[in-house]
Amino acid sequence: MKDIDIVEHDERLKNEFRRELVDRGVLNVTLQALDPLHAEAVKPPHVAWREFQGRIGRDASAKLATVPLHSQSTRRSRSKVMWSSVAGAVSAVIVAFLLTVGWQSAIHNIHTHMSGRVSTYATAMGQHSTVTLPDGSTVVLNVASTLEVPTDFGVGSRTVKLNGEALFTVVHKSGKPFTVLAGESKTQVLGTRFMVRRYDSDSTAMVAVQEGRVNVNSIIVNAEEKVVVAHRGVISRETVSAGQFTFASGILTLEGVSLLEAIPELNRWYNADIRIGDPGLENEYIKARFASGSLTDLAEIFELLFNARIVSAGRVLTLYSKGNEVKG
Amino acid sequence: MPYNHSNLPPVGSDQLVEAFRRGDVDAFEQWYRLLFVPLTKFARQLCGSTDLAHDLVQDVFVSIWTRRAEFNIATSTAAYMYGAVRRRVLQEHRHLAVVQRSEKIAESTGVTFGLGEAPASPDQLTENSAVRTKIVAAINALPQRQRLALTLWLEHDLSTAEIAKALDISDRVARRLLEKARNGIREALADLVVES
Repeated sequence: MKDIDIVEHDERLKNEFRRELVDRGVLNVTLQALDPLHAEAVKPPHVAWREFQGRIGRDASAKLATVPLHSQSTRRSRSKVMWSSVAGAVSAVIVAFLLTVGWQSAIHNIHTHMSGRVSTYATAMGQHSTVTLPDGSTVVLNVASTLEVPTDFGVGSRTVKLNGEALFTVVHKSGKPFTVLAGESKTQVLGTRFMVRRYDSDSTAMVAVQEGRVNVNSIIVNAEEKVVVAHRGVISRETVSAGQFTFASGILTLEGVSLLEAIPELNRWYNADIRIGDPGLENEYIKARFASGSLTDLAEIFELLFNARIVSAGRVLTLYSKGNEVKG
Repeated sequence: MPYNHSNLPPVGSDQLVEAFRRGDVDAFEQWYRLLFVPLTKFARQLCGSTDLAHDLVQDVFVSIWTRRAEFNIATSTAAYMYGAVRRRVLQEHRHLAVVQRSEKIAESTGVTFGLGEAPASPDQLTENSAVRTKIVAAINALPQRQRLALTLWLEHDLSTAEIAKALDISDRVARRLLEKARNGIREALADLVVES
């Protein structure tokens, strides 16, 4: 009894102190100052593991053969079949999943998720939605996004699956990490605010933290940082700008991307079909904030930004440089 | 409860340890991947070199794998691993030399703190660097043991009891180290309020 009190007290003290540092905006500075070499990259675990295997050599492979029941291939293929038959997820999810959690609990999670039912929340293009989960955590779903929540969410674990982009505000639950699976990324937190993005058209997943910190594929990501996750794990880590999170308040921020890159974003945001009629426009850069609005507004913005002329036909907007448009 | 490396729950963690004691290299791999980065960061804080930290943590894993049948831990495996890494670092260097070296690095890097993304306005810049300088100075002023305890507590999310095991001190001493470290930082923050 007394032990439990001490543990809870310790955790409360820690949360209070973290909160103090966050409120003063110095949590990151503190953690960095504690690790004077923080700027030096630590070897990724999979690289270190290969070296480890080299050192233990024959020993490991010999031992592997003695435990066929738990051999890697058996476990992975079985999980993959179950997962894809129900959710149609790519195998990368399973691999990333198994690589980043304890194998015992991973199998357990997949079983319960797949045997239990899943509630699906989805937004169409041009549409936003806020979902409140049973634990009080909220998820702002950006346009054209899907969130899968198991009906037993919060019973054993708090795990959801995302396709698209969403901002999560997670309520702290002692001992119950909140997990978001999206493509090759697995983000785990206790209580914090962060966003995850992984549309089908993206080749990587991105996780950006607004408050607190999260664990993405075993890498700790602090507030105001974002990481990009590819098949081989986390491939970049950088400072994130506030614009990354504005979609949750109804503003799409594009910061210095080419028009070519911006168009899929704008199409999803406005439920539009924007086309470039003049290749010269493709490499024009956009730095702008778009509120939710009509296509007419968008056409006006484009005219302003690029000195472009817009030809619209239904939902299709075609952009031409002024003076270069093809008459027809 | 810890979540960065010990997101294996206590029960799951027992099962994991049980599995690799039987020689299950997959189970060991999961465990290795969870702990490698946090342990390396901890080790480099002790030895002042990321390269050396990589090697020493690798040594610890090799040694544990080799003697896995004897591996028998009743409580936190994470605390045990931090302790094992700490002992390995100490074995590598004479304690004093290690401490001096990491303190020297802390001082030299502390000065260059504040570089990074340029904030939006000049006002913000001054304010941020003032805060940073203050915090960095406060942390550098903490004795090494307090810094270690605070790192394990905040960054590695160990409990006080786990920190005590990792640093081979009593729970009471661990609590006191943390309290002093917190107070040191709070004082620095209080100064900032007065100045502004």
